[in-house]
Amino acid sequence: MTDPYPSVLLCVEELTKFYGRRTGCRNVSFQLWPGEVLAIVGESGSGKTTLLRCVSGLMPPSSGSVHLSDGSGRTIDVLTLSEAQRRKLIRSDFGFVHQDAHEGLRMGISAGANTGERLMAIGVRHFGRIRAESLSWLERVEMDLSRIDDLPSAFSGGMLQRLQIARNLITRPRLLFLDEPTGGLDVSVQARLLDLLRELVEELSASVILVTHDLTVARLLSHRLVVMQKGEVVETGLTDQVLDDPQHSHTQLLVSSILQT
Amino acid sequence: MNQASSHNLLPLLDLRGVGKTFLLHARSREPMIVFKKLDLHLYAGECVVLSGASGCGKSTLLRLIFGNYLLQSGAIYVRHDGGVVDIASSSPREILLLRR
Repeated sequence: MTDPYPSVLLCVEELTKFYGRRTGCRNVSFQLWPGEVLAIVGESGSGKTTLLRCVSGLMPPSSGSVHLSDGSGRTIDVLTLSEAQRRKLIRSDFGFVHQDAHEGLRMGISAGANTGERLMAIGVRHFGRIRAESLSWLERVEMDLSRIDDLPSAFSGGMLQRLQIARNLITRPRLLFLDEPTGGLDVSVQARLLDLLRELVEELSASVILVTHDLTVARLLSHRLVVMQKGEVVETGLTDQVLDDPQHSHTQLLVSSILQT
Repeated sequence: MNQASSHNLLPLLDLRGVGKTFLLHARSREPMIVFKKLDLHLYAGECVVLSGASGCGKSTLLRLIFGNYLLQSGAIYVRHDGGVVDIASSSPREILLLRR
């Protein structure tokens, strides 16, 4: 079988995080290939966000490893990077869209500065280019360009998420982390935002790890699915296979919960 | 007979001893058997109609071939890229590549 991407982009092994005596996530392993969208689903408190934060380098795990391919045959051990290297990785190769836009944006600077800041962080210094790129990305996420100099605090929830997406994608990250990207938005805004995300991710050929409790979002966006319960992975597989033919009782419960609503 | 023409005589799709059972978790994992040992051979250019009463397993069969359902036993061989792939033992990633 011809595989356009024979090498793994990300390899997570036996990742465990304890909060004191409580378990955040335990012994989680998975691999991610270039261009692939992996959804992590489960109830609130099942460890999805903990896992995402540990994999993305935002929070140190208690044990386990995360290896990232640098695209030229070498691998980077994400968890043993120096603070400077880790920050550089988060600013360039990684993008993180938070459920709460206030976590992912700087609310005290304009929309254009929010997108431009990330470009400056990877070394772009030409103001004209930064402004042009920011305008281009705000347009791609379907924002009103006349709002480029407004503060995010004056934006609606949907606009804040669009701005967060533009801020992250402007540096064309290889790996995008989405933590409930449409949580708290009304249904029509959610649908448009999901369409937008799907188009942009496909266009950039980015790999994505998506955390959601909404199985409809997972079905729309992801190729593969990881189901978590009480910090552990209970089932993995093709998204449509896991959702249409769930093998684990917890997955079947999650799937049947949607049908009842 | 050369190798190419003998290859064309092989089925495009070859189901051997396919078994599928759903476990009804809401009924204490009660098994619901759909197929026990199903064989089907489909050659290139052939059109086969699956016909039967509602609930006899027509859609389940289609979904098994598409890799949408997991099978419990048997194999589903598909000719692909000059070789043969067994959907039953393929990884999710291989099934995605096959679908493309």
